[in-house]
Amino acid sequence: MIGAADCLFGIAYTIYFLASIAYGANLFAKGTDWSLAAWALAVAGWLAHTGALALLGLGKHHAPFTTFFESVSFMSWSVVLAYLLVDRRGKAPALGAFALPLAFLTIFVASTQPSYGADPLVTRDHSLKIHIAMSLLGYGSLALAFCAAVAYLVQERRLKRKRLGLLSRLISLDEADNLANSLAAVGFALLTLGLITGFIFAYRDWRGLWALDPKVVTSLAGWAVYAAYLYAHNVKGWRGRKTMFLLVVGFCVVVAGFVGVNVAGVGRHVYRPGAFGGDGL
Amino acid sequence: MFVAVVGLNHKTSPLHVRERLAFPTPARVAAALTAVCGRPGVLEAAILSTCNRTELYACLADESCAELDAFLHHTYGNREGLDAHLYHKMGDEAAHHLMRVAAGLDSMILGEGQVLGQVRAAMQMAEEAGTAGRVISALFRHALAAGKRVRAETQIGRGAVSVSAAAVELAREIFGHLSGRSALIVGAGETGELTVRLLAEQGVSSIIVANRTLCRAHALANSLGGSAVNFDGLEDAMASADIVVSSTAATHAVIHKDQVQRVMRRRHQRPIFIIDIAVPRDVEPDVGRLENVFLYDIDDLQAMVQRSLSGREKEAARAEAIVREELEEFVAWRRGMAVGPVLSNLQRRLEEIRQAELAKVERRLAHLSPKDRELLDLLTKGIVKRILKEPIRQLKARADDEEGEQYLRAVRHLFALDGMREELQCENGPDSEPDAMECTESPLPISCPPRNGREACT
Repeated sequence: MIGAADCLFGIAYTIYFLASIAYGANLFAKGTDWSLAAWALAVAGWLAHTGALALLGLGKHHAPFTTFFESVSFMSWSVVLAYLLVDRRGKAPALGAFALPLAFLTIFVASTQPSYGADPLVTRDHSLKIHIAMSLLGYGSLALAFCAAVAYLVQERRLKRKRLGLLSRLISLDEADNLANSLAAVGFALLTLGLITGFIFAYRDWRGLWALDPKVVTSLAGWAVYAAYLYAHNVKGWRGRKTMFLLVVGFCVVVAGFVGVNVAGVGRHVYRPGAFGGDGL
Repeated sequence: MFVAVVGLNHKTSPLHVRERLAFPTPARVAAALTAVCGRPGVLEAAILSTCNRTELYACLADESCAELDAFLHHTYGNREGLDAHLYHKMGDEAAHHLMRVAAGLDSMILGEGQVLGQVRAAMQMAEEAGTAGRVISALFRHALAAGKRVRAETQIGRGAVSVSAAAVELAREIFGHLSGRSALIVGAGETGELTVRLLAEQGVSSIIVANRTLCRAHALANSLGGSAVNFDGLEDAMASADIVVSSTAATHAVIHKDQVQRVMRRRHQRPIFIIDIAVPRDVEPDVGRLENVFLYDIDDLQAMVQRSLSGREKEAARAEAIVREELEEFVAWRRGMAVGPVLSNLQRRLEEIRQAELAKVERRLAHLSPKDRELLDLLTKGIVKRILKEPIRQLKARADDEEGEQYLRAVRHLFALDGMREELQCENGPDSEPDAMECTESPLPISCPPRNGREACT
């Protein structure tokens, strides 16, 4: 079953690559409209990815995010899921041109990293599973909000500098703003749930100053940035470039927390045996 | 059958000539079609009349446009003033011309799409008037197909080709769809008004007119269905508008940087699109540096127009290639259509010969039994059939190329088939004499038009 999961995963990975090319071609090309082909590829890739995750979970009898690589793969899956949810008819190919390459590249980069298994505790404790799932799904949504924000900033530069020859199929500023806002709201909610479940777990099982764990600190910082963005956008009615920068910064902080602690190997959020349950620090 | 077009367009004639030869209403077109088909030798006709061209397409019995000219002279009122502006195209050249027209390749603005609808309308009007027969219908069908393919397969219709269209295109890049957006027009310049009208067509719902004198603002606001303010209310209006179109005749800037800065704070930095189409400019250039302000002046918009025009020119070669493909299809259809009647006439000619020869020896064969006579009949029929078998196969096989066309002509001459058409196709006409003469020239199965003279050559 694991072999089948690997095979399906390889297929998904290849299709994501092809979809990225199709979306890129569509964005840069002036003639043929590739958007529906690209969208169909994204759907096919996501279905294969879903199958791979399901087989992985069934084969190992645990949630499909017990190693760093599996977690990144799960996050990529949630990025594509978020994209397909906001673009159900293939009408926003410009967003796909950012989302699919992101999904592909994160898997690619993660595959070059040595992948350690997580603390066996992850496979046993349900509150921990919910904490991880919520956080990873939240990252997916926030990653897509980041894509929309980047699309906004690129389009804004293009219009401001009056270089209108290229990228004529980019998303309009207002659409990018709306999409980024909804995605950030959903991502923020999931992130909040992830934090709450994490706190419950930490309060119950960890001793010492767990609030100073680097991942906890970066997550709280990221959460605060998103909170500031949502407040400025939805309560105060602020728009424009600076609000988009908040989304970019927020995502960078969250990614720094997720990737950074694993690369540096600090704190308890590292994928290695004993990290979660240990009293490190 | 000869397809011909006689007409004039924006390149060959000035407006005052075109307007005298225009057929602006369907009723006028229908009357003209009936009149032109009443002329001798005109079998089918269609009229394409737009503001840039008036073209009379016809299927003629012979290779002369004299009747079409005469009709146009009559419509125009005199001969001398018109002839210098008219162009005449015959046969495949005429078909090629219509296809280029439908594809927007002959338009004033290269690749414009409206003409395709006008070609379709011309065909429908001719069909309704009963003057579009097989040939004209097929010609227009092929032209429409060419036009549609060119629009679908090339970029020739893309990009804004006027300043106001460029403004609308930019507004779409900022706001996506424009329905429910608000526009503010500053000053009462003509291009400004045109741009706002175009924006309104795209769904912009709320329009405010700001002018130095409130009275003129009211007049324009009434015609646009919006509200009016004077320059004191400009900042308030800007705070709520998504798109600002400025086209005053002022000699100095009307919209200043500090003003827009205040407006942007009030808008919470919500993006604003300012189109300055006035010369000298109405908006201080520094305004464009402010964050979330997108300022475009007349030069920017004209550069966009220029870019899309040169883009269209690049696409024209591809469009021409598509037109040529469709023309080949039409030519193949025309050739194929010419084969049928020649073959049936050929068979008929040989049958006549067979019967005539049998009749000659009739007396000397009197001693034959009916059974033997039947056998003789079958034998001679078999010989004729055998002789014709290969030529017919060859003619059919080469129906759609040029060689086939030459074969067909040769067969017509060798067997004197053209003379036959008179008795073949005009035999049912009550008074076939004059029309029969017109029919004789045509290699196509053209039955003689009924007496009202407006029936198409089906």
